[in-house]
Amino acid sequence: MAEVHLENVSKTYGKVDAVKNLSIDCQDGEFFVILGPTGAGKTTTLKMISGIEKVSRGSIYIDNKIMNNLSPQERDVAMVFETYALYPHLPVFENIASPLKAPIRRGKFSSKKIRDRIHEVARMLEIEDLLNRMPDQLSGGQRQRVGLGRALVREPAVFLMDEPIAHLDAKLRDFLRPELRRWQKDHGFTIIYTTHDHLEALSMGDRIAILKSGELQQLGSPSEIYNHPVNEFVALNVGFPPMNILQGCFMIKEYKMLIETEAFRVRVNNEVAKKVAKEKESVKVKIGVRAHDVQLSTTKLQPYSSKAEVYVVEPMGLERVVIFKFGEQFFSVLTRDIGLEPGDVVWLETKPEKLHFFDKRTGSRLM
Amino acid sequence: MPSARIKYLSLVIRILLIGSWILFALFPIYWMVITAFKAPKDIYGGPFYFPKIDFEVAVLSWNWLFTEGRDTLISALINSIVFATLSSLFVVGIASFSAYGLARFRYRYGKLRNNDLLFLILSQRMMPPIVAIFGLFLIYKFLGLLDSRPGMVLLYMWFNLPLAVFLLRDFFAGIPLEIEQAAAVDGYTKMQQLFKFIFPMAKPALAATYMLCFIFAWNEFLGALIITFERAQTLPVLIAGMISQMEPMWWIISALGIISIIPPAILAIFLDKYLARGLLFGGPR
Amino acid sequence: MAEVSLRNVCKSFGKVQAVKNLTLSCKDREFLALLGPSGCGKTTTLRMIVGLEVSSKGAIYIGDRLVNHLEPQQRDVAMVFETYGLYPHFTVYENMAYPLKIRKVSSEERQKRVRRIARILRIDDVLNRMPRQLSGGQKQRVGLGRALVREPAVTLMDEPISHLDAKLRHEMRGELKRIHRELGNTTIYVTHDQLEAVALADRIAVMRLGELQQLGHPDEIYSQPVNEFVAAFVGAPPINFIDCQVKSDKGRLFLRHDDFIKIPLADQQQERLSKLSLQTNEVRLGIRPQDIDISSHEDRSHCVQASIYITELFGDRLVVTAKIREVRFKIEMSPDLTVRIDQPIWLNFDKSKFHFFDPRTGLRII
Repeated sequence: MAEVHLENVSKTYGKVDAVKNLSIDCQDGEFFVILGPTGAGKTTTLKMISGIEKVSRGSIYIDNKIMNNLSPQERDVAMVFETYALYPHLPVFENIASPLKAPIRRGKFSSKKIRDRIHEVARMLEIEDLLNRMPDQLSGGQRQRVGLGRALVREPAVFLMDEPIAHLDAKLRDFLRPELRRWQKDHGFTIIYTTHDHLEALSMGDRIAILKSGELQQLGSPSEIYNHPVNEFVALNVGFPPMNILQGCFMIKEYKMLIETEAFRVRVNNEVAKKVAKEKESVKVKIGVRAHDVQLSTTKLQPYSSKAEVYVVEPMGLERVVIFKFGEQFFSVLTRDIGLEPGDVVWLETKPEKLHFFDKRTGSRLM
Repeated sequence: MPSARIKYLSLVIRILLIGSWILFALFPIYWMVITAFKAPKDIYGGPFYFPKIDFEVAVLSWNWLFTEGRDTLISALINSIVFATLSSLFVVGIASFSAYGLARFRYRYGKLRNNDLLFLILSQRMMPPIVAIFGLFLIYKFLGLLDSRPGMVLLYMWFNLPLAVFLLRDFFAGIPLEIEQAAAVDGYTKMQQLFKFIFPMAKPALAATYMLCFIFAWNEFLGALIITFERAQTLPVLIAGMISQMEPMWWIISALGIISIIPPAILAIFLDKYLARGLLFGGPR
Repeated sequence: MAEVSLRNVCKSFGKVQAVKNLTLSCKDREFLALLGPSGCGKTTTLRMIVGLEVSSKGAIYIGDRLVNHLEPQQRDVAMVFETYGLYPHFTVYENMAYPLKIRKVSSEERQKRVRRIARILRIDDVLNRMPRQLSGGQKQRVGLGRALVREPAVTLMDEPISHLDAKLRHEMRGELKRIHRELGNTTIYVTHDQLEAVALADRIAVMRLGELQQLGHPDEIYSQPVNEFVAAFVGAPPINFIDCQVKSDKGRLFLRHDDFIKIPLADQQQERLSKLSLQTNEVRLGIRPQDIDISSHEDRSHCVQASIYITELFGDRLVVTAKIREVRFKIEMSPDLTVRIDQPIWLNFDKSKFHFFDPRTGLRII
């Protein structure tokens, strides 16, 4: 296993910058997730690490050895493709065996060893009874697992996985997520894993790198990313329901420092106000709060809570997502109170330590 | 919703249309087969349609083919088989590489891009072959290839290569790039990727292209007529020769026709397992 | 507006029975979701109601009209597809007015109806734009608007928002729910996403392999699933199942799995189980991840020992996969809980939330 470093890596297609000046370091034995929407440059990054794509600028190191000019077969990486990229003319067994049978590894694996490895991997992925089938006889989910199997059968320096479970149904995803994670921990493998699903990223990654239009937004542990998003983009794209972000301002009322938004008012201590005000001259900011950090009550419990009318209620198992609407802005609150109906008027309140402040113009975090 | 009557009517129309087309397509073959078993008097009299009813079955033509005409027939048959088989093999081999190149790499020759190159290649086949044959005749004469077997194989390669490149390029372009990328990551070099994955995957297309080239070469007449005299004579030229005698010997022509159907038919049966099954590249739906 | 009812409807494609003897009704003004995995017959059912497929057997009523043999355009239904299907060279207004125009509605009436629907859908400020100038959510709403301006008796939707990104989907869900509340249009909605069905629908029909499994209010489906399939399909993370034997010990009933898991039962459950006079003492216990609690030490209630297999943190909740030998449980906890892989823990099952199924038929026992 190995560590992977990207140093100021860029990739340009014609005039389009797919990846801009990306520096990340993935440590030995780390489950490293790259999270971002379509077109963020996730797949391009993986393909540059694997050597399928050449970097336009910058350097890629695996175990401190520079990789820039090495071909994919010289880099000792295994990759899972989002489109599976199975060999359609070969049965599942041969598909999974292909990395072990590659001429570059000739003589390294006896045919018995190959067979044992394939059965071991197939058992974990629950595709053992499909080994003699052709890829076109498989369902999408089965193909995806064969694609995974073809990577897992090796023990490369790094595993690169491009949305490996994105096209599976929810049930299978729920099953494979922990299995994959546990397997990685047991063997101490290094995995670089891309996904557009923030929940997948949060639950699997040791660390997460968030990309947007080829640029790194934030790199950190799941709890750092969830609790301290560096900007509005990260805040909106990590966590469910998406963080509520409203325009707001500081104000002083009856000698008390308040933060007021369309949704709620919160009393804050001077510390918070000073910090925000120091970094920013203007007192107008964007204020974010997560759906489960807001409390609802039918009576006014404290002087600064504010009143709102329920717009829609969505059941979600034991909980309800209660949605309010302020202007064009949705505001979701997660609650276990199941009595609420659209049109009901309730009081919203939140705690100042649960608030996130973002710059009104740039969207970056203020404290 | 269509009522039962409309459904019934449309069925009848469909059967009639398909039936008349089948008749139209199969009758010439039927006619050839029965003509091969007619005596000259039944051919020039007539028309007679049904053996034993209209005319007596005769084996005149076959007698001639197995005695007097035997050597000519065998030589022409072997020539045709060798030329078609070999030229198509070379064509598919060469075309695979050029088509793959055109599908995967970007070329710039001055203002020419891949599509222009492909058009240039295909444009060789846009004029009637007669235009080029006289020029070829001169080249062949200069090289001493007239009436030679290598010359004929070369002729059919020249004849089929553009079309094969054209057909195969589309197929290779349709193979997802990521399959090759996966093979590269699995540890295969470019050449190994081609021979282990791409070409085996392309089997149906290669087989179809081979079949098409074979049939073109098999039936080609004009080039063979002009380039060959005797030694390298092919079956179509031999058949046509039977017409230019004093009077067309339809019974022999038909018998030769039957013989000339057999090799392509055998090839088609042999290649059928590749032709029938297309491959799905099974990505996410 | 109208009621839709299906009576003993069947549909076969060759030898494959896509829909089997389906009897179902969607009440006037109701939002009904057809929920199931792919291949369960939900889309076929929808297509039979629209008239794009002809049912092999059975009767379909819209209002009190038998519509089996009517063409789609005669059925007074509108369908919203997953792809927007907007005319790219028409403005939003023209796109929405088009279905009325071909039905020869006067231009005044057209304008009135388009404006009203546009206001409800909150696209009244983009009526003069071209579709390419719209965001995904706006396009979706225009597509919906085009279906709604006709004021059809029934609106049918086939996974209309499943391809939108998570944030937009969340917003559109809220919008769909509100629009339905304001217009009160009878709506049948096909989805494979249980979360979507639960969030939107007044009632849910869960289907599997062409057969109706359960029809009921979302809470009923969640808390009283009629069989294992419904229990497993609705709720996330999925419900845990464990095969148990009902054993008696000093007059009290227990659940045992092999010889290493022993779960005590509440008095009421013991009573009901003993009354059932089961043929065997085998039951399959279903317990939702939300109904198990973890403690790092043993006490009176936390009495089943397990170890941590893996943990998954989803921001505001933690899903723990616990292991008792080879048996795995998913447990949903608050994210504050700190546990390590392979750490021993003790589980407390909320007995009042137990679901009992017959392991042979999969049907609910209690």
